[in-house]
Amino acid sequence: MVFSSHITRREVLRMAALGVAGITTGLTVRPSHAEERGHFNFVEDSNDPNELEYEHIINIRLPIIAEDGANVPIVIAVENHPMEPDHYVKSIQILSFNDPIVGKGLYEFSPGNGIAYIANQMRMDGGDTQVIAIAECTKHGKWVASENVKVSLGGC
Amino acid sequence: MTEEFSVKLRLPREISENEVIEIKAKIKHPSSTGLQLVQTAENRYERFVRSAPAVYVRTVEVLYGDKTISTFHMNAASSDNPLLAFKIRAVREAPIKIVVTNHRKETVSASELVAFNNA
Repeated sequence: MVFSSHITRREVLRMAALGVAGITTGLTVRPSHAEERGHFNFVEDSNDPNELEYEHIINIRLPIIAEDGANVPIVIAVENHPMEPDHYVKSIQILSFNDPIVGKGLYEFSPGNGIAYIANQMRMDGGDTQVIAIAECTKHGKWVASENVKVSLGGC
Repeated sequence: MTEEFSVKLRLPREISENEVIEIKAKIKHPSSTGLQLVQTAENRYERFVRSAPAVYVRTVEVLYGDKTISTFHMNAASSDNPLLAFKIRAVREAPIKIVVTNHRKETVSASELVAFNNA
């Protein structure tokens, strides 16, 4: 499996553990609590976000079903976030743990972008896959969102 | 191996000052993970093994004027000939340049001028 150098194995394991704990216990992680831990923050309810969560909503646009795994379009944007010199979205990283190549790219931004937005096409393995996006804010740390896609024919 | 490696930039027709514009970069470059799904007598479960070196676009650097505003680190998980789209805030009339580096550290670049229509 290929990991990007910008996310450590420890962080990945911690995120997986948080996800499993959340699923098994039915608990959700409040951003304030997650921030205290200094790792990943989540938007608890995207339909009713608080002010901090609203800024950090990550929009992931993927097809529900992708017929060709060699060419799966993806659009990721953090549209509500300011892009000011002292407060901006520094990077967006895309991961998919079901694929042989886990890291799908790291996209770095600066205030000159005006908005953290990237559209690309990816190779994905066949089957049901969860695509994870991690957006790093210069002030509020890393925020995570995910979206599912069903790939008919694997493209790896 | 002579593969076509090029990049083209497309800017919106009309650009106003301080507007956030979408820029598209069409990169012509093959991409392959070099992985193959195999099933052997010893191992009944299919697994990926490396059968060839990976071929991919490694980095895409975006410069606005003389300043780097974005760097995209990519790998073999990108498709063949990807069409990248990203946004910039058009704060001044200056060239936008994109420098693409592949797995062999070969580079190609393209440049277009960000010009305001209402200037």
